[in-house]
This record gives sequence, C-alpha cells and structure tokens, in this order.
Amino acid sequence: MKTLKNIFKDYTVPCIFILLGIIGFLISGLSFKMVINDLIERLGRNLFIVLSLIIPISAGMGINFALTVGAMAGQLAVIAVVVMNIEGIGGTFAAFLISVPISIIFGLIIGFLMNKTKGREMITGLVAAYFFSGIYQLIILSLPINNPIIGVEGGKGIKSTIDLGIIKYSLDRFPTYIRVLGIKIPLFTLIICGLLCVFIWYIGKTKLGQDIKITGLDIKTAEEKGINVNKVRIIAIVLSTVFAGIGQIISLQNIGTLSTFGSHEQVGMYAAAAILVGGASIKKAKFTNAIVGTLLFYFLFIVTPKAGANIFGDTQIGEFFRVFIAYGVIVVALYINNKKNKSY
Amino acid sequence: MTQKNNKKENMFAIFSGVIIIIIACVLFKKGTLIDFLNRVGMNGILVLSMVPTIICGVGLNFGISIGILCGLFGGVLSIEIGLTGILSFVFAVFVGIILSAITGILYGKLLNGIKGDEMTVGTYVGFSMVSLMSIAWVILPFKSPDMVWTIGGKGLRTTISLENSFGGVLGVFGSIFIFILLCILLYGFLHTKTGIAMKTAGIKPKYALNCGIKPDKYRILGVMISNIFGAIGILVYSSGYGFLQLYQAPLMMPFAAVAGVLIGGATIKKASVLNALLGVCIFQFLMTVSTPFINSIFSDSSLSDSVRMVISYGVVLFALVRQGGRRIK
Amino acid sequence: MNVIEIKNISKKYGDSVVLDNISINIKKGEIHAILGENGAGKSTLMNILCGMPIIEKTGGFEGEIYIEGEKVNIVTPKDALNFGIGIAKQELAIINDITVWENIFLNDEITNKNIISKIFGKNFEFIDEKSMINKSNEIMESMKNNIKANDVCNKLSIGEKHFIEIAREIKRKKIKVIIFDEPTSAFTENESKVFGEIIRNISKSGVSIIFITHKLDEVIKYSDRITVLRNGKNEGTFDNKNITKEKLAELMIGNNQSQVFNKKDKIQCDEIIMSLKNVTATKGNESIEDISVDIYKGEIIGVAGVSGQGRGVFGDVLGGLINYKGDIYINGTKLKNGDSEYAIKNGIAYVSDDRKGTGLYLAGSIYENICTSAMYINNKFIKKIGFINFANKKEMKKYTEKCIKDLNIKCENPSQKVGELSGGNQQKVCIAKALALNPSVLVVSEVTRGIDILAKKNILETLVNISKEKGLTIIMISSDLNELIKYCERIIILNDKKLRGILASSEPSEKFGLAISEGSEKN
Repeated sequence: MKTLKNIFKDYTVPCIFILLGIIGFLISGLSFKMVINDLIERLGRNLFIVLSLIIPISAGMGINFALTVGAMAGQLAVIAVVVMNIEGIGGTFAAFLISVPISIIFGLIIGFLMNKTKGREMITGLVAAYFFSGIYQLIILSLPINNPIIGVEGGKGIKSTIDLGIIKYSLDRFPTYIRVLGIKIPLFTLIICGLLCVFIWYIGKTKLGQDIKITGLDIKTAEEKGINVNKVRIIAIVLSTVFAGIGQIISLQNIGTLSTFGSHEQVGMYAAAAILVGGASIKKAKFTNAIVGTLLFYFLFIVTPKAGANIFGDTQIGEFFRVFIAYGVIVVALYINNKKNKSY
Repeated sequence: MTQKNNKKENMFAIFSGVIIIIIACVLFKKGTLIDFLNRVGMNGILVLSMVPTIICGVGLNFGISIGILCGLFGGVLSIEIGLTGILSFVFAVFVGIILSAITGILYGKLLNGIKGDEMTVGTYVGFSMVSLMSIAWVILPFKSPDMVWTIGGKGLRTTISLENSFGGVLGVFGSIFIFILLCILLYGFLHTKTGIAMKTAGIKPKYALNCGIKPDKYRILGVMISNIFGAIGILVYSSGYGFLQLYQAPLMMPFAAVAGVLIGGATIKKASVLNALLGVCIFQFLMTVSTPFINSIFSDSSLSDSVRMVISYGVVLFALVRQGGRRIK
Repeated sequence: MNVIEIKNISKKYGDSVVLDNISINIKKGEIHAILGENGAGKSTLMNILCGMPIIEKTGGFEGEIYIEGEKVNIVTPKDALNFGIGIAKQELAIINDITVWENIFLNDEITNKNIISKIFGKNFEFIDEKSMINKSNEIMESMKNNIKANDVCNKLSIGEKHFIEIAREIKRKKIKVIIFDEPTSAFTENESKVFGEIIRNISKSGVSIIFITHKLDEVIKYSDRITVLRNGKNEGTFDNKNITKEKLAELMIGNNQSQVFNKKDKIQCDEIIMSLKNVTATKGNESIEDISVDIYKGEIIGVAGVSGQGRGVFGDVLGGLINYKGDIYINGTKLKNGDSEYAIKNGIAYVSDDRKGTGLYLAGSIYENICTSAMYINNKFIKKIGFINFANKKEMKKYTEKCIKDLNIKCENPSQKVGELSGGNQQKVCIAKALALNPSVLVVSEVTRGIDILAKKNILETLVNISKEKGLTIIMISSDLNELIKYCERIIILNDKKLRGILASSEPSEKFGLAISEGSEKN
C-alpha cells in the first residue's frame, strides 16, 4: 500500500514542484484558462528537446548539457531556410533535414570529447557548450554576409534578431489547431513529439538500445563482455544532438523570432531542469519524466513572474526567481541522486 | 632519479620566474607595464582562490560566485553605512570574510554530499545564488543615494560607482601587495600541519583515512578558504575597476578564474600557488597585448570580452580532456 | 588433441614477475583443475586467455597460445569469445539491476530482423525477448535451479549469480573451453554438487572445462587432470588417478613446515589488549558476521581463510576505514565506528593490503609517506612558531633516514618518490609509517603479497623482532598460510564470513588445509 509518505519519498522532486506550482499559481492570481493555454503552447514548444535528453541518460552519460550545440545546428538550418525563402511547413521540414547532417557532425565532436572524459561528461558538456557557443557567436558576428534579410547593414555579421514569420506556427497550425474545452492545442507538433517517443521506444527494443542500457548501468562489465562502449556512447550523443536540433527548430517556429545570439543559450539548462523536475535522475529517465517535468517546470515558469510581482511589487524579481528555481532544481536533483554514491 | 624530480620542480619555478620577467620587460618597453601590474593585482586573488579547492580534492571551484557575492555585499554595506577611503575597504573586507566563511562551510557541506559532481553542482549553485542575490539587491532596504536607482528610490543599481568610498584606494601597488601577501600566507599555510592534512585529504582520500585524516573535514576547510579569497578578491578587483558590478556580472567570473589557474599549469587534481601566480600573469599579459589587436578585427569592443570568454572556456575544456576520465566504481 | 596449448607464457606487473614461463595443455573434453594459493598466478593466466583489458594496459605478455593446433592472438574479450573461450569469473560480471535473461544473454542476444535493420545494420534488430526468456528457463531447469528468467538479479544470492554466469557460458554455440574461476567459493554444499554434475555433462559434450580452485576435495572429485601453480611457476600437471590430496597440498603450499621460527622464547602474556565482540561488516561483495575474539598483549596472531570470505574486511574494520556493527575495545576503550583517527589515537596502526591505493601516496616522497600520519595524530615532527604548527621537514628526513637503516629500505634518499621503489621496499615504507605512530597494536594485511622471497623473510623477521623487543601486538592477515604458521602463535580461520576456529600454529598442516576449505570446530 503506497502511503502518502512513500509517494513523497519516491517522487520527491516532482512533489516539491507541484506544491511550488500551486502556491505560485494562487499568488499570481492569473486565470486558470490562460495559464493552461500558455502551458500547452509551451509544452509543444519545448517537449521535443526535453525528450532528447533521455538517451544519453540511459547511456550513463548524465545530462547532456551540450544540447546547446544541437540547438545551434538547428538555428543554422533555420537561417538557411530563411535565406532560401521556403515558406510554411515546407520550410520547417526543410530546416529539419538541413539540421541533421550539421547535428551529426557536432554530435560526433561532442561524443568524442565525452569519451575522453568518462565520468565527467556533464561538466565537459557544460563547458563545451559555452565554448562552441562562443565560437558560434564570433563567427556570426564577423561573417561577411550580403543577404539583406539576415545580414547586418555594413556587410559584416548576421543580424541579432531574425524574423521567422515565414515559418511561424507552421508546425503548430498544421493542418489546423484543435480546440478542446476552449484550449488551443498544437496537434501536429504534439504528434511529432509522439513520434519521437515511439522512436525512443523502438530503440529500446533493439540490440542498440540494450547495449546503451548495459553501458549505462555498468560500463566496466559492458566493456569486458565485448560491447564497444565508445561507439555506443557516441551514437547516444549524436542522436541526442540531432533531436536537439530538430527540437530547437520546433521551438523557434513557435516563438517566431530567432535571437541569433541568445536563443540557444538557456536551452540546455531549462531542458535539464525540466526533466529532473519530472523525476528523472542522472542515471534513469523515461518519457513520463519528460512530459510531467515539462508541464510542471513550465507551469512554475509561467506563474512566477506574476507571483513575484505580487509579492515584491516588481516583475523583474519574478524573472530572477524563475532562473533561481531552474538552477536550484538541478542542484537539488543532483544532490538527491548522489546521496547513494557517497564513497570515494 | 629523485634529484631529477626535485630538479623538475625547481625548473618549473625558475621557468615561471623567467616568463614573468620576460612579460614584464616586454610590457615595460611597450609602456603598458603599469596597466599589466594593475590587471594582475585586480585579478590575481580570484585566480588564487581556485588553489585551495583543487588541493583539498574538490576540484575547480565553479561556485566561487558565492564568495564573490559575499564580498559584494560587504562592499554595498560599507557604502550604505557611509564609510569612505581605506576604512570602507577594510570594513567591506571584514564583512565579506565573515559571510564567505559561513557560506563557505555550508557550501562545503553540500559538496561533500555530491562527491564526483562538484564542478557541475558548483556551476549551478553559483548561477542559482547569483539569481537569488539579484532578487536581494532589488528588495533589500538600502537607502544610500550612491547606490539606489534615482527613479523609484528602491533597489540597487546594476553598476555602483566607488568614487566616494573605496574606488582606487589601493592603487596598483596596494592590490599587488595584498595579492602577494595572500600568496605567501597560502603557501605558508600549506606547510603547516593543517595544510598538509588538507593536501593529503585531497590527493587520496583513502590514504588520508589510513593516516587518520578525515577527508570530509578538510574539504570543507578548503572550500571555506577559497570562498574567503573570492570575497577579498572581488573587493580588490572592484576597487581597481572603480565600480561594483551587481546582478548578472558574477555569473561568468568563475570561468575566467578557472581558466587563469589552468593556464598557469594547474590541473583539476593538482595546483600550487605558483600556478596561480604564473597563470594570472600569462592570462593578463595575453589580454593586455591582444586587446588592441582584437579590437582592430572586430569593430565591436564588447567582442574582446567574448574572445576572452572563449579562450577561457577552451582552456578549461582542454584541461578536462587532458585530465581524462575518472574511474567510475 | 589439445584444445588449448599455452607455451612459455610470462607476465610482469611492473617489476614483479607474476607468471614465469608457464606451459600447460588442455585436452578436448577434459575437466582440468588449476590449483594454487593466492598470488600463484592463476587469475593472471586466465585474464590472458580471455583477453581482459587489464593485460594490455599493464604491458601485455610473452609467450604463445595455440587453439586446436593454430597459433592465435588474444587481445580483447571479443577475440577470446571468437576463439571459443568463455569465462565465469569470481568477481561476478553480473549487472544487478537487470533480469536473469538479460544477464545470460549479455551482448549475445537473440535478435530478429526488421525493415530498419536491413538498411542500417545489425544494431537495429529487435531483441527477441520471448526466445531468450524461454531459453533461459530451459538452461536453468537443466541446471536444476529454481531461478526464473524474469527475476531481477539484485534479489539473488551470490551462489545463484554464479549459476547465471555459468548459464551464460554454456549456452554459447561456438564454445570450446569454459573457465571457472573459484566457482564454488560462494556455493552451498548442494549447489556445489549440482555444479559438479553440470560440468560433467558439459565435458561429455566435448567442451573442455578449466576450473581454478583452492578446494582440494573438489579437485579430487571432479577433475580429470590437475595443474599446480606456485609463485608463478608450473609445479606439474598430474592425472587425478595418480595423485593424493596430501601431495597436492604439499605442492601447493611448499615445503617449509620444518623451519619453525624461534617463537618459543616469547613470553606468553595473559593480558587482553584488544577484543572484538559480535563485529559485523561488509565491503563490496565480502563480509564478516558476528566475529568475537580476544587478543593478548604482545602476541602475533594470524588471520587466514579463503579470499572473499572475510579476510579482506577484517583489516579495514580494525583500521577504522569502514563502518561496522558490534564493539571493538582496545586497552579498555571502545572504538568509534569507522573513525580511523580515533583508532590510531588509541594505538592501532593499520597497514592495508591495498598498498598503492590506501597505504601509500606514490607521487610523494618517502619521508612524507612515513611521517605525515605521525605528524598529524601525534604532533611529531612539528616546529611551533607562535601557535602555528609548521611541519619540520628536517626532522622528518632525519627520522626517515633512521627507518631506512632499520628496515633496510633500498632507495636513494628520503626525498625519493615512493612510486619509484620496488614492491618490497614500498611495503617497508608502509610498515615504517605504521611504526612511526608508536602503536600498541599493529595490523598488517597481506604484508608480503607480490614481494620476492628475500624481502618477505626480511620484513617478517623484522616484525617479529620488533614485537619481541617492544611488546608490540601484531595481527597478521594473510593468504599465505605457510607464513602464518611460521611466524604466528595462534591463527584465526575465517570461513564464509564467520570465525571458524582459532588454531595454534603447531597443529599439523592438514588440519589447516581442511579448516580453510571446510571449516572446523572452534578451539
């Protein structure tokens, strides 16, 4: 019989967040309908990227903070699509296709780095993300571009904000929105997320999936029994990076504007926080963690600015508070996870 | 064979000294020696703060932002009280040390609970605290007109001028003096009984246990010392810079300090005061020499900051890869 | 026809020779036992045959391996599998968090093709869970076991996990030889019987079996031929019919019974200096349960037993390195659980068997290694300036020079890095470190493992002399029973986690052999 105490113990982090969310919602005074609408939209926007974290966790590599690199690949693809002026859903799918080879190359590099730092994948991913992000920014700023749509006047560099009107909502809207109980649901986007879930499920049933699982559980035994752990880990990261690229494109088509320098920056952080909030650990993650986590995290995300404003009389505090919670979540989740590994 | 090893250490010391002298001469010729010394004095202590945590086994202290925030709070408090000159600096340092000692102990305890992920957790605790303090900067009831937004009268400004308190009060040689003093103190500490216990705990926890040394205790000590240096370091930096930078500014400072100590030859597992000294000299030399060069390529001057950050991240990434993996299980 | 032939295999770990020119042949369909004490080289030999990564990482080996007459190169585990060699090790290669069938079919899964796999390759084939579950249940039944394919392995006993390892190997199609490393050390008597039947059946089907063991009874019961290894050398291969248990014991342990070291002139003391009451502890796969024993002041007492059955935990408990339940008293003071500092302060010094990991700081100098602990706990080698305790390097070096002389440590100077010394000298540094603490009880674990014979004698005689001169109580934990018999007065036998008996060293060696492999009544 699962008592309330047991549920809390097994699902500590999600429970804390449900509580925080409810409190925040009550303080914020926002309308429930509005919040749910916003929430569903954000779900569509962000779920895909959160799902891309699952495979590396199963492979024992912890949270793939280098997700950002995949997001950058997605952004490059979107820029290409804007230049080529492909509209609507065709544009979105074209972006998906273009991003894949770029993501694969990026993924191979990151996977290679992570194989050199087994046991420290998370910090490596973190630093690598910042490093490549920095290089990306420098290139963006200094590339000689003549195209007026994306180029800065003066010919050097890409604009800091690019309007994505041509593909905005293309995925969400396809073929049309569904309204359930007055709530707008981006059906097609969610179907695509569903496809990813199916794909992850499929991989889990294959030899590759089994190899990933074994490598994640006990890398030493896996190696001794002949599994090529390095190859398996690289595949895991490449898949994750490709999905991150696609996920970022989905996110951008919903937002409608590309912030060339900044769109990718917080991606890794928020996705990590979301999946951890959903109850995943750095060693184990399932779709339910991703879905529940995205809902809970973004619920809090939506209500805190207004709640902060109501408590402190300042919206900006809500922003800070939201960031504080996001980062704090990761710390708490890592702490709870690690309590089992206290030895040297 | 062992004479070779002792020789190796002496060679490194001599090598470092030579590099520093060469740097000094080059800059002297270019007329930027004073600028260089100023940068070293300003940044040195923050780089030095990485050394205690590496030695005690915690690794690179990405959570040094905590110490930095304590120092900033000390500075803000000192302005609020209305102190001026050297007294305001001393007061700020005093408050900073107390706060950073307490938070350092708490942070050290946290790190003991997540052995193996200290760097990841440190980064996020740092980010988290910066955001938390950002809230604090807004809501704490400060009144000093030097600090508070003129419109609205509530909440601290993002950048606070230190003209009226301790800006420039140390001068170039004052900050160098404090930096060298702390270097000497840390070096001496590492040769005391407690320092050696801390070193032993960091090198090999199992070996330390066998010697009767409790590694957990000394990890907390290392983190505390590092945190305190962070507080002092930011105050020296701000004094030289002339401004206190609140809100999001401390976010990326750990990376620069980490890169500094790594450039000086430290690794994730091994560091010495000399690494910090050499590292800050090389890093600041590169900055001094390359800033005009970078400005000529990229028209935007904020880019030099980006380049600095990219170099920092690259250095840290390189150190991580070179260090290799860690034996899991 | 020889299914495997090993010619002139030698291997060194650093400077110490682990295998010395070993040649063995294994016939098709035979059960071949490899007998030897700990440190004889058995596991290393098996690691070489199975292409374990550790061999390559420590410099490879010399010699040749022939499989069915053809020379082969075995460098990775996959190579060994391809040549038909399978191994079930003592340290289980079982992943606890997954099911029985997943472990049995680890990296050897039965798969089905699908559309994607036809394009992208074998990795994308579906794993055929049903077939594997059925096959697993089949194998388990044939082994007369109640384990179900869907059970999760963390619920199984160690004996059951061994059966799964066996199942893993016997199901392989190309298998020519299966190696079992100390297979029955974790079995109950019944499980041992079943194991014996299983290997009989396997060998009848043409697959050869090599099994490595301590247990003389099993060797006699199950094997066709027996090879005895001692100190890295092959002492001979014998037909089971042509040899007795006693002769095997003699070959295994060596012929040093006659030399009894002059312990007789030791004054027997009746004062109890240390006592353990119901001590229970676990470290990894090994544990001790409910150990109670009293130790007398000034005595040298040995602790023996098969590896994996408690010896390894004993030392760490006394040294305060791991947590335990129960009480330990020294000189009347009760020790604090898992507190090494308190243990040392109360007079216990521990020389761990993990020389390089726990006992020494290899990159540090000799004087640092010897003096740090004493400096920290007893405030020796300190120069006080004001109220700050600075380490007095000069004094440390002086004391170290004395240790170098007393223990005959071969080195250049006290500042030399310990990592550069040979194994024997490293061990002397560990001992010096412990002695610098001026302990009342010295616990040494595997103090002569991996050390050449001369250094061994040197170290042990030194310890005994110190015990005589200073009345130091020594607890000697060792896998070398011979040594213990020679140098200790009493010997504790640990078997299957419990204390099976305390024998006087004057008892006949057969009694020891039996006590270790089967356990005997408490004296």
